[in-house]
Parts: sequence; structure tokens; C-alpha cells
Amino acid sequence: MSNESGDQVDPLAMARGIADRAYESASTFVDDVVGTEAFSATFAKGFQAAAATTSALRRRVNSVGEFASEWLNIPTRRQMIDLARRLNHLELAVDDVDAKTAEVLRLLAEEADDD
Amino acid sequence: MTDTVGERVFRRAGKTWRATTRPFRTWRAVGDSFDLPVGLTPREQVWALNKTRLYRYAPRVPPDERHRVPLLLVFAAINRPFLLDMRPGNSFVEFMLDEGFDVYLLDWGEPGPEDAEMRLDDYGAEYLPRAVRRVLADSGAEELSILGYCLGSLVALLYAALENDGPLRNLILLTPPVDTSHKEDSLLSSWLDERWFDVERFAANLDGLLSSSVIENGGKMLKAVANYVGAYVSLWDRIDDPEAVRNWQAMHRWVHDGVPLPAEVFRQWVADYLWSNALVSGRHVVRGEPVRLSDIEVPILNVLAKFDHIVPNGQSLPVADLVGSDDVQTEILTAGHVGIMAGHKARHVLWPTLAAWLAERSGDSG
Repeated sequence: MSNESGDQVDPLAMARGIADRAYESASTFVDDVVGTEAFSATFAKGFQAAAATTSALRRRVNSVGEFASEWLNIPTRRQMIDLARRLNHLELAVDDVDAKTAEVLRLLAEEADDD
Repeated sequence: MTDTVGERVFRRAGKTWRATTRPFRTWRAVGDSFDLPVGLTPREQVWALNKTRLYRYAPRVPPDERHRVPLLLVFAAINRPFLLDMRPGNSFVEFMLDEGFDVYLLDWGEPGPEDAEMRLDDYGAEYLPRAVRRVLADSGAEELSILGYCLGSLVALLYAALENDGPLRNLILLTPPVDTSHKEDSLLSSWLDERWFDVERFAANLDGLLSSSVIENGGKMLKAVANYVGAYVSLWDRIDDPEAVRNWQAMHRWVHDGVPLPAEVFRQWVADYLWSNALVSGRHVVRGEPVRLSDIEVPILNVLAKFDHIVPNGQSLPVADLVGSDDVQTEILTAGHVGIMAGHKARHVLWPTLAAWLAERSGDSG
């Protein structure tokens, strides 16, 4: 940490030194721990367990949402996702058509130049 | 000249006030970082497809002083690309515009659940070729240079290999995670090792997207104390320097403003790239077409960060041996994975290196 006291005696210099050394030690220790195989295996398993747990909860919430949407006669989340996906495919197809049109126009322009 | 008693008292009072309010000012600076305006260089959107946007930055030099070949920036899909355009006076984009480049940026945007089935290959084989076509149409150029950063460089490599007879003139790779057989210094490889990580089951449980907070905290865990504690100590130290605080806030905002990743992209990256090293082994096939890095024959600048804890140097160094290009330059800069582009030395080290290398290969001005 910084020392703002300039040429004056800093009464907190020792405390700062201790804090800096503690930080360095903690950093080295944690970096060593997260690099071990035991940590990697535990971390990965915890990661997967968390995903599985939240997934179950999300599925339950989604099914309630689907039921409510159907009951209210409004589009469900799944239907909206399907619609968005189709629109994406449509956008890609339009972009393809645009590319082909641009190519045809370029060829026509080249031909006109040759004539 | 000696100070009067009044001046000394006044100075001491100011110092005491600054010291007393330092915790509050630090706390406030952290909170304010999320509202800090970033990415302010003027630009216009020239193309959009799904969530992807292509921007062209307003040129800052007259047309006759500009390089003929435009530059397309391709950033990693897990972060916002404003790292390349942080703040006026501290912006890579601004620097390259001043150097006479016509700069375009491909922003992948924020995927939604409808993009859950997108693959990493789609970025390189579906979106990037379309963006390239738009850059050429918009600029009127026949060739372009591409700069890919981190996962963006992987996408750029895919494109360069698949479209090897295309309009690509130069390729710049920043910290490319290519040869993943080098696992020795990679914590990510260790955490996601197939001995204990079941990526198929994990991806199936994601409901389509890997959340940005998981990506953010996974990245921070690689240097846990530095990221969770050191970053704030650094702000505390510099709280009296407004410019340093603004730069810190911009970086803090960038770190905490990530985007989710389609689950299939994550699954493919882990299974095909991290575990199978398919890109290097030549087994990677995109839409029935094998991806051969040896097909890439354009000039390549491969830039590595010496202290990169996300993409170890061993993963990026083999690029020179894998591609078919005769003109490959490898630079190892003294920086970290992010600091290489956004650190305080970047303006004097990386940016001029990139500009000089590109200028030599971007045709005559005008």
C-alpha cells in the first residue's frame, strides 16, 4: 500500500509492511492451493453439482411458467425461443440472398464495363 | 521559501480530510464504475445479424493518408469488446485511427436462449465470413486485415484456414489458445480435466447458456487474491489520482460486464479444443470440411503475453510451426493476458508494434 507521508516519519509504516507481506503470503498460498489436483477435482465436482441443482429448480419454474402461459392463452417461453430461432434462420437466409444479389450485380457491372 | 503557519495548518487539514474520506471515496469509485461511459470513439453500425453487430469507426485522418487495407477487430465472445476502446486517450481503436487505419469492430453481442445450439465453429464459418464481406463492401477495399484477441483469435484462425483463398491479407493473433496439449501451466485445463469434469452433463444442465457471472468468477479464481483483493487495494492506493481512478473504473466495469456463452460453444471448446486438441491434430471438421492450419498462408503476427495466466505461452507459441505462412512474426511482451491490451504500457509497447507491423503490410497510403 502507498506511503503518503513523504519525508516525515510514518507511524503506520510497520502496519503497512505487515499488510503487504500478509497479502503476498495469502496470494502465494491461494495460487498454490488452486493449482493442486485435489482442488481441481473438488472445484469441478462442485461446479457440476451447482449446475445440476439450479437446473432442477429452473425446470420446475419453467414448467410452472409453461402451465401458467397456456392457462392464460399466451405464448410460452419455449414457443418464444422457437420463434426467435426461426427468425435467426430467416435472417441468415436473407443475408445469403443479399450476398448473392450483390455478386450478381457485381458481375453485371463487370460485364457492362467490358462492353 | 518557508510556508506560513496558516498554509501548514491548511495543508495538514486537507491531508487529514483526504485520509479520513479515503474509504468512502474508494467505495464510491467502485460503485460509480458501473456508470462510467466507455467505448466513446464515434462509430456507426454497418451490419447486424442476430446479436452480432459490425461497426465502422469514424476515420480521424484524411483519405489520402489512410492505409488501403481496412482492419477488422474480432474480440472474444465472452466479454464486451470495449476493452479495445476504453476511454478517450486510452483507446486502442483511437490509436489505430490516428495511425491511419480504417477500423471495423465485430461485436458478438449477448446471446439469448435461442442461441443455445450455436457452436464455436459458427463464429468462424458462419458469421465472420459474412462480416468480412460487409467490411469489403462498405470500405470498397479488396482485402482486409483481421486482429483476433483470445477466443477471437481462435475464430480468426478458423476463418483463415477455411477461407484460405479469400480476401484476408494479414492476420494478427493476440494470445491465441491454439495448442492445448500444453497443459502444464494452465489452471483452466486442470479444472476442466476430463478425469473429473463431465462437460456433456454440465452443458445439458445449463439451460442453454453459461452465465456471465460463472465465467467472470472462474476467470477471477485463476488469480483469486489479486482479483478479489488486490484490485481494490490498487484503487485505494490511487484514489487521489483522478485519471488513474477513471482507468481503474473502466477496467472494473469491463471485468464485471461480461456476456453469457451459449452452452454448446462451451461444450465444444472443452471437448474439441481443450481435451482433443482437434485444431492442432488436424481432426477438426467444420461442415464436412477439415480445418488445416497449414492452409493459412497470409502474414501472421502472433503476440503473446509473458505473464499470461489464462492462455499460457506454450499454447500460443506453436502457431509459427502449424501455419503454412512464410511470414510469421512472434512477439512475447512483458504483460498479462488483459494488461497486454489495456495496461498502462500497452500504448507504448503493443499498440505501436501492431501498427508498425500492419502498416508495412497494408499497401500504400491512399
